[in-house]
Amino acid sequence: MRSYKKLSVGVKELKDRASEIIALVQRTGQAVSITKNHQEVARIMPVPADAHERLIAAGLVQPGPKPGPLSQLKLKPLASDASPAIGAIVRDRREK
Amino acid sequence: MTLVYLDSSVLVAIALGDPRGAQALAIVGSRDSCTSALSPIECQAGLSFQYTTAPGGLPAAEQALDAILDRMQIIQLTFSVLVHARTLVRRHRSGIGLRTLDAIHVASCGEVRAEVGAGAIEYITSDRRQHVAFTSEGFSGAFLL
Repeated sequence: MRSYKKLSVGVKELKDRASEIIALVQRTGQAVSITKNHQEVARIMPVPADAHERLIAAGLVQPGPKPGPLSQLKLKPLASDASPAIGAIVRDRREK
Repeated sequence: MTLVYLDSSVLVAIALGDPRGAQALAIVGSRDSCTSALSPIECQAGLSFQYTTAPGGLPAAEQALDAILDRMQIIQLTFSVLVHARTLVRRHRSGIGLRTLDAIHVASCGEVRAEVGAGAIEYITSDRRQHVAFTSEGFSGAFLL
């Protein structure tokens, strides 16, 4: 496993070297901590290229492997008409 | 690659083998799909109603639904989704009469769009008013009648 030394910069250094620090985050994929009075107050994180990883990073999807495609799913037909189920869902959404 | 958002009305059609489900699967193709964490609850309500008079068939339908959900990215009901949904209700309640649950589906799609980019998500629904809600927020997709 690769290990990185944790990177941190103060606010003044961030102001002076912002472009360089962002380029470092992009290049290494490593987060950089921003410190104020020696306390970590923020982080600059890389944005994942993969959509699934982005959704995980945003907290929209729980961490884990990306599910396989629906197209590989084989299901036995159970009812030729799902209208009662669909109607119940629509009524649940709209009933006053 | 585009991500396809399937709402509950389409998920039950797929689970039961309704022709609208086959249509939805054809549209999705090999693309990744997602739905809201709200959908399993709505789907359960739908399936339970479908099998009210023949409850023996319900377990197989639930199993099919679970198999579908296992192959989807489930969009969590995060604080940002709920805030987004509130904004949508404020914007569309008096116009298209947007309801709370409709707003949660559209907001879930909206939060995904904010992360993966405009044009990177489409929707499929069998609910006409949900379709109107999606289009009013600029999403493209399919309404399966």
